[in-house]
Amino acid sequence: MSNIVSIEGLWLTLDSQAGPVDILRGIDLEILSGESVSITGPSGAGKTSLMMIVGGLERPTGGTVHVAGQLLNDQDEDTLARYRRDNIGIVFQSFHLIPTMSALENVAIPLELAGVPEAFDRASVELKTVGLEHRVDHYPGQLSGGEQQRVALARAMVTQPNLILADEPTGNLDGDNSVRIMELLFDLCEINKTTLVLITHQLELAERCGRHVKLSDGVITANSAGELIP
Amino acid sequence: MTRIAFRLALRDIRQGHRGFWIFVSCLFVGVAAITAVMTVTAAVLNGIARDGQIVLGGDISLGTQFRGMTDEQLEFLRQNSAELTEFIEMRALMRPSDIDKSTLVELKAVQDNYPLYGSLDIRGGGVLQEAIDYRDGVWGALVDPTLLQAGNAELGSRIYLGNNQFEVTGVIERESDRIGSSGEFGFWPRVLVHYDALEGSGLVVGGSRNFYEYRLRLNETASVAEVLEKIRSAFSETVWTIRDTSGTAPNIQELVERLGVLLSLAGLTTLLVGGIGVSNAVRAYLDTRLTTIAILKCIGGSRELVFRMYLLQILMLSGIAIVIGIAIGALAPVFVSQVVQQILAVPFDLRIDLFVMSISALYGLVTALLFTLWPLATALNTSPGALFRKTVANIYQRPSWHYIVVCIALAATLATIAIATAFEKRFAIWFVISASIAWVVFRLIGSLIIASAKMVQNRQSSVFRLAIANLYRPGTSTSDIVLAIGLGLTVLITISMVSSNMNEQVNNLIPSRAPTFFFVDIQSSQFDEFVDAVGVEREEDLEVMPFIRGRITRIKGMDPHEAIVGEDSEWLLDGDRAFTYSDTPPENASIVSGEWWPENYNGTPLLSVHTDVMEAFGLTLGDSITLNILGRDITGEVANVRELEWQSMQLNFAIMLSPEPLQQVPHSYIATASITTDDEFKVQNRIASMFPNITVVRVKDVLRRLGDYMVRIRDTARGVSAITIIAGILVLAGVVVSENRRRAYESVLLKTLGATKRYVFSVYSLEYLMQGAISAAVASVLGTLGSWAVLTVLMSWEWHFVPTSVLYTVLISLAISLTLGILGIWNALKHRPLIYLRNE
Repeated sequence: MSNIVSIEGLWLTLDSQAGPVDILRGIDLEILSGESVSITGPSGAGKTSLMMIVGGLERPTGGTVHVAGQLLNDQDEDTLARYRRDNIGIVFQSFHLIPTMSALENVAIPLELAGVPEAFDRASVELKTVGLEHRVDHYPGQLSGGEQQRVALARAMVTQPNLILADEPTGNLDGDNSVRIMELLFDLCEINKTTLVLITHQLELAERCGRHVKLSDGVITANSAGELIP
Repeated sequence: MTRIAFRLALRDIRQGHRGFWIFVSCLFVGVAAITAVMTVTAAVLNGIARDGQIVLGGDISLGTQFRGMTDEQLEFLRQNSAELTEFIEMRALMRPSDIDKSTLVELKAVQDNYPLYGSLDIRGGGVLQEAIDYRDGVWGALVDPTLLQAGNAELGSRIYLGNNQFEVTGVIERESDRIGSSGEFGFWPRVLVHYDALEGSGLVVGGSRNFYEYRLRLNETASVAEVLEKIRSAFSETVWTIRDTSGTAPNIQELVERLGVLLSLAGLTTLLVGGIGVSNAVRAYLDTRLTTIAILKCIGGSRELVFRMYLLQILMLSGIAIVIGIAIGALAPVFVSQVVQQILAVPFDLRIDLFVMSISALYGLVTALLFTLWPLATALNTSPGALFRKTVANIYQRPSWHYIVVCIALAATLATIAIATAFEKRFAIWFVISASIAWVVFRLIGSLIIASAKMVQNRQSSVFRLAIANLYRPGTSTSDIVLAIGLGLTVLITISMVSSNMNEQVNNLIPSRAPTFFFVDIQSSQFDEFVDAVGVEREEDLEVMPFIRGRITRIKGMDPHEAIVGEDSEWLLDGDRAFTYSDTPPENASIVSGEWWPENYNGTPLLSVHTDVMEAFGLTLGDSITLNILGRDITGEVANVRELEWQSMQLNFAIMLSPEPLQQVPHSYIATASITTDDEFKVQNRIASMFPNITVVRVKDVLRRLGDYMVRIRDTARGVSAITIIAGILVLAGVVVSENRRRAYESVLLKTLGATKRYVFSVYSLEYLMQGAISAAVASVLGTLGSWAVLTVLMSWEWHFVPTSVLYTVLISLAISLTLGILGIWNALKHRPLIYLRNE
């Protein structure tokens, strides 16, 4: 299997009032296509920043980042947008649905952006897959947290991306909803042979991934397949 | 509770008021506009009142037309005053050596003791009496600076007025009693000469339309009222125009009051449009405070406490906006006083006017409360649970009924202040009604757009679909944008159409049908010689009609003042009116009822009356009208009713009589002539030199000066509309700012999902374009209706639809609003995703 993500010597330094802060410090990481990888670590370790860089939402200040064969470092914003459209699905802890769009519209929008003619039909199918066929015309404010996250999941999966980036997808959900969302996430990735990068604090969720990366203070402190070392 | 609310308000303010500059700006621009307008109006009216003697040129003014006072009358006036001066005003043709430069002027011939009060200042200094004295065989003349600018005269050059030659000895810098002239003067440039210089000029002929003016200075102990009473009782039968310092410049006062009304209405429009901005700013501000409101409510804060807390904040900000607005509005006239004095040539008494400031503050406060209360009440009437879902739009609930009642009461208060403080209530009532209708129409259009957009099913183009969907999404600002653009554009199109109509009427309609000359005051003895001197080739090129002056003294046997039923018809009884007689109906009139009298009719006097006069007095065919002509009452019956084209510039008379009763009355003639361009100046010069008493009016000159006036009025209207434009831009900027947070969040998400900048840009631009285009279409209709109402109802003018005027206004305004929208989108696209997407 080939690498879908290949990161070498990644640095991210952000300016702050107290001076420059090194968020990521020389990260090297490779992720194989179809693999599921958990990224764990304490708050402020740089997990979300790493995910943002892989998603083309943040620019690294050093090193190289290749995803799906593309070097992300020097791409302009529109190229990165097209890269996400064609390759990436993202699931956030805070769902980040567009509040003024219905569930169906939220799911259809990535397909519309890709110019898919049957965007709404496919979105309907995807919503049915996540069990929300009865909520298509509801706005995010009219849905529960679990339902909103299922819409977000449907939106991430509807384009059948190569890579799913999930940042604490169950962080805002209760136990039952968490389980249901994670089942859906892993099932869908498996069915579609999609690579999954899961950022989580929950060890039981991380354990379901094939490989585990641990970040601490901007550096990788563990990177191993098999059993998770707490 | 207020104390706690105040403490909480201060704490909340510490979080900052980003975006609240829109609130302050919208309110401040409106308050400043109203304060400035009211201060300028008050300053001019105060100035006229303060300088009453100077503006009038005396303590008492007496005026007669056609012939001066008798020796007996003059002696009476001398005995009852400390000093008397007399001057004559008339229109006359000023002929320089280059006859092509001949022009009509307003000639004033003054005595040695003129002026009794005030001054006549000569540019570069000089003494009036020396400048106009007889020296080296020629009289001196002072001229208006515009005559030098237009090349009609030069310093030291010779000019002819009637038969007499004058030397231009100086330029008039300031004539302190010019605006107090009782005649119909102020249109043509002034030439001032000595009273005795008219002798032998041929300009003063009994029955000519000359104005004989007398100014009295009273003894210090004398009472104006007592002297006036003496004059009135001594000469009760004499028709004089008598004024004292309380009515020094009625025309200017009326003009200033009318201008004041127009400017105030522009100020009110600004405040109204600004109100939308205030409302949006408050809503945008409350959006950023939803969590605070929800938490306060969750921990036991009552709705009233939270309401007071935010109302106090808004009142504090309103206070700042109102104070800045009043300060700038009150100071602005200091900078424009020079301009106002130049345009109106009026005294300017600028002072700190607490009444004006109080009214402006009241306007500002009521506007702020009216436009704040609704969004505040809607936010506070919403449950904490819904408030916590702050990113979900459309969480607001309709306010409870008592807030609605208060809002209606505030709107009624605003309307009442507008009407109560207006000089002309009718104007203000019109404005309030029109503004209310426009408001409702644009709210309905906004709702209609939202409802229609929901029905559009287009999944072919995602850009178009998203743009359409943005029009109806929960929390959409479609209604606000439509209202802001719509109201602003309606005002602009109204102003633009009014000025275009003025231009059109001057440029197109009149010249194509107008004669070359008007000749006034042709004496009976000059008639045949005059016709020969004009020398037209075709008979129809010269139209001559008898010209008889008199007054309407009875209508159906009643006092005419009691008979008036039509609005604004008092002018028919205000002084002398012109009448004529004819055997045949005039060519430019159509008889709408009754019949013209037969040729050589010799029975009871019959009258042909214009429809306006019929309506003014509620007359029907067969009713009687009594006219006093040269002291003799003539009563006639209405035989027919005519309609006229006043703008045709042909000879028109509101009342025409059958010939018999007037043929023997001494009268003059009035004529129009159409002359080829090559012969214009020859004819003008010939008539002026042969008949100095005949006033020759070149229609082209009238039109040119009328055009200049129109341009001035148009430019004033444009200047005034600039204030409204500023308010409109601020409101749009406010809408953009209030939308910025939502758009930034949405654009980040769209970009995260793979949308390019161009895509996001296209969606939002298309959305703005659709909102703008629909608003513009509706505003075009309302603005056109508005211009029709202003021209036909308020100004009694003809109205034409000028499509280019609407088109240009719409295109320019749309370009401005789209640019603002695009700037907002650009700003939204700049945001870094991390800020919005990082988990909370």
